[in-house]
Amino acid sequence: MEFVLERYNYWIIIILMMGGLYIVFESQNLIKRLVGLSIFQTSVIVFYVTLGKVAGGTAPIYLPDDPRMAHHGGGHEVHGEEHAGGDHGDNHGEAYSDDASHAEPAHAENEHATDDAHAPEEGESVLTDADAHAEDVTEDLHEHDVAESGSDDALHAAEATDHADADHAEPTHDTHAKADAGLIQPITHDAHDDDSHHAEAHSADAFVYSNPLPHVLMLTAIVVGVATLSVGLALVVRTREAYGTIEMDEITQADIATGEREGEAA
Amino acid sequence: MAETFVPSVLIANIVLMTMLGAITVAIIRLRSLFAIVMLSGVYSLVSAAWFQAMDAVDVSFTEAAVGAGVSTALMLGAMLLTVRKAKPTQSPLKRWGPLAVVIATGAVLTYASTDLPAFGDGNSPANSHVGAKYIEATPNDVGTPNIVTAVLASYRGFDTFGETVVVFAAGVAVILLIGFGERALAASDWSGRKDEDEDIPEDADDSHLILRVVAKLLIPIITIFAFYVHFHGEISPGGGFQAGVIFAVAIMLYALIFGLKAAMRAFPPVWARVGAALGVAIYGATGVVCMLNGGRFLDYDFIFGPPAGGHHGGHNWPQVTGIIGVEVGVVVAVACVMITAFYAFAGRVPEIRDEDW
Repeated sequence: MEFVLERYNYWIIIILMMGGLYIVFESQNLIKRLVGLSIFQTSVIVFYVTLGKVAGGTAPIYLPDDPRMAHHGGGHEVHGEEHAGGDHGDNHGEAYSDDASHAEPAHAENEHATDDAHAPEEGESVLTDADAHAEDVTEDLHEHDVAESGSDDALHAAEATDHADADHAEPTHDTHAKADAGLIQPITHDAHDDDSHHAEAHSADAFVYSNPLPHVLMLTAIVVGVATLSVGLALVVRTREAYGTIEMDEITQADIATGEREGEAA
Repeated sequence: MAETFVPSVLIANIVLMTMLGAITVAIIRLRSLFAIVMLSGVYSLVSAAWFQAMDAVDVSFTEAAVGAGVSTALMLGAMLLTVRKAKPTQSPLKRWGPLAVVIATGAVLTYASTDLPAFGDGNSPANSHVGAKYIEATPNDVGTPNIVTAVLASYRGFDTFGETVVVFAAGVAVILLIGFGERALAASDWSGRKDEDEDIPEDADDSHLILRVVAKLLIPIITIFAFYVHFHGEISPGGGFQAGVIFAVAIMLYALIFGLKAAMRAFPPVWARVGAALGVAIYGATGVVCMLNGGRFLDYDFIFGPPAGGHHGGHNWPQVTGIIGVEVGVVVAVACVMITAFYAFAGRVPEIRDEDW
């Protein structure tokens, strides 16, 4: 079944391509032949787009929270204004390694804190709260730089878990900190695997896009295709005016007759 | 592979692909050219829906405007100038010979398809090299959210220039073959100014009233939408090609409902001819401006002079300006070539014999 699902598009594409080819071969009518050609052409376009589709991906337009785009802020006015100073630098790699190193200790302490608590039920409720909070943070990211908020949250989390160790922190504050820490670093809790998209929301790898290159090539191919189709149709119209028919076999007959007349005259 | 697909995408894929196959079979069997042309429009619309499911939003946009709009209108125009029905193929050799060839080729291709990467494989060769590079590098190099526009107008701007020239050349070829509607101009006593005899017959007034009212409401919106699609193209799906086709469709709709004469009064054929050349010139000029400022052809980083530094902060204005510049060229060229071709077909006086109807 999976094999069929993986190949189904290719088989339909072959049917389309062969159908177009058959029309071009079989039909004597020039307009129908052009329709056949355009079906043939579409089958190639469909083939390219099929190859470019990535499972689980989305359209190749950066999502607002994608860190790749958030650092450069091309699309969002808010980002653009905030980054006008340009003091974040161009280097993605550095920014992310910083993120990771900041988040790592917070994560470690966070686990330590939950170990201390020894309360699984509380742990679960913490996770649901964390998810709810994760949504808020994702929205906030429209206005905050990922690297900045990431490191801030990490520090915040580190402080909060320190407090938790000392049993001074209010419970709400505690969950808040854990939520942020969990958001930055995908942690190994089993419960979090289900909601892994929240945990990964800040990693560039979490944003899967389909391949943009086939789209570019096919987009222009479609427009060039209609332009050349109009040339073909113009030729058909002229053929009709010259021969009085657009059936290929009748045109061939007319040419043969003309040739015979010329032969007789010569 | 399949487990990471959203089920709705897989279902849409299978349903729409099956519909495409069925439409192809129907087109093979049909003889009425009118039905064939209409079905090819349906085919385009279904494939546009399928492109949408495959995340190819820009392709979908283009196919919906071009396939279901312009090419159907052009084919109908050509059909009206020729015949309405394809004659059946008489000789059995010509019917079964191609079938044998096609089945043999299809069998070989099906055998080869088992070796192709699985559908949706993100690590296939097609998806892991240059396509992935574009996704990683676009924010830094170009800075537009729509990666397709970035690749189309910036990374591969020279390709797109070539394609714009091809579209222009096709428009020139159509003019050379069938003119640009002079016959319609000559046949009517059109003299360039508004004359009192509207080309709408009196008896058509009632039957086309709704069409005319709706069209009058829609055409301005379609035109504004074309400009939105154009100037928003680097952020959302769309761009010069789609905008140009949508603008041309607005003019075609006007011509179909209010008559060719009225359309030629609103958008004179000479504008379309000049515009087609002007669009290509705008595209090329954008490239030349970059050269004059010290860069290479279409190197938008140099469009305002040599770049100040590596980092632009916020909008990458030189790139955005360059993309909008070439897209203006594309929109003007594509719209005018489409309108020219439509005028050429619609303006040629039909010479259909009665038996062909």
